[in-house]
Amino acid sequence: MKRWWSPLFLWPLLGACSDPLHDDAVDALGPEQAGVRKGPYHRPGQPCLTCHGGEGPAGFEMSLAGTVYAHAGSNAGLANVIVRVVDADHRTYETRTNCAGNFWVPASDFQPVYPLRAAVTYGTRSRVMLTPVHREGSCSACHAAEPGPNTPGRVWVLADSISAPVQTCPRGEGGD
Amino acid sequence: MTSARRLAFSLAGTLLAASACSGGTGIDSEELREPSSRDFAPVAETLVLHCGTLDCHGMAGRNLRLYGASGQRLDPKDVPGGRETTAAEVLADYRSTIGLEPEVLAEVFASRGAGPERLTLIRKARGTENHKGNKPFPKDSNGDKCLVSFVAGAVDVASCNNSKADP
Repeated sequence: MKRWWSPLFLWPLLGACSDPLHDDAVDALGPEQAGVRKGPYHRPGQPCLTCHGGEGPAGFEMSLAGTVYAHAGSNAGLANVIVRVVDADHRTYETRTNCAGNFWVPASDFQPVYPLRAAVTYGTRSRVMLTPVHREGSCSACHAAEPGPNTPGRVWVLADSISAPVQTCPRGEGGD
Repeated sequence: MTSARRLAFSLAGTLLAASACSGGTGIDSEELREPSSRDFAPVAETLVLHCGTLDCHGMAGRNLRLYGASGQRLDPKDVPGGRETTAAEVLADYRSTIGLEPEVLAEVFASRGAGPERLTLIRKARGTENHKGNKPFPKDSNGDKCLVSFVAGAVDVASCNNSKADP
């Protein structure tokens, strides 16, 4: 007799391979913002590596990523900010924020050896991160929106006295 | 058996079990001695600087939970990067450190720091035990001397201070 039903026994094993903590972290991010598709402009301020850290669901894997804001307490991401990191092996990687303030380091390009140091520069203005990063690739995992005892607040680059250019992102860009 | 007698037996059993538990682990708590908190400030400063960032031991969920100026803050009104590490944070760091393995710490302390690698704290710092943060204090580095001197009961303040300049 053909045991056509035997693969059914594998289903519980497949289910056992998922990580409920990771699944919960992905679910906690909520839906996409209205009018912004998955892609380089989506979800500013969220912990990018939750989905892009290699465990999915996003296919494009990043080793570091985040969002840089114009001012402390601002909700406006700032474009053309240069983000520089130097890892424990003294290797430097440099990238630039897009119109949403988002930046990322493709995992295929650079896998930092921790601890690493980071700095952001906009024009002639720079801010250097006070402490090294020891393990977390998502900036917003530590840099939450509101400053508090467990977070210094968002990554920002300009003093309040310096105005930031008004910028908009093209809508409907795809990619995952 | 009447319900009153059943209740009496039940109470007696509960009391017997409770008295059996009160014996604990057999370790006399009077014998557990630990290094003093008096000189812990430079040790705390070293630990917070090298281990207490928000993505490592500057997190509430860690066994070794550190508070300080460059990491998580004890006072909800403080922010990381704000005012200097407070005395309350130093005390919280001390309690966290000595609470990791109190029995082993007591043994190392009693032997004046001999065999410090009996402590997970030292092994993790030296990287001789798997540690996501690699080896922040290799053997005989300033940070290592600082930690080892603390568990031996005589803080090497100079090494602690020198460790601030180490990567």
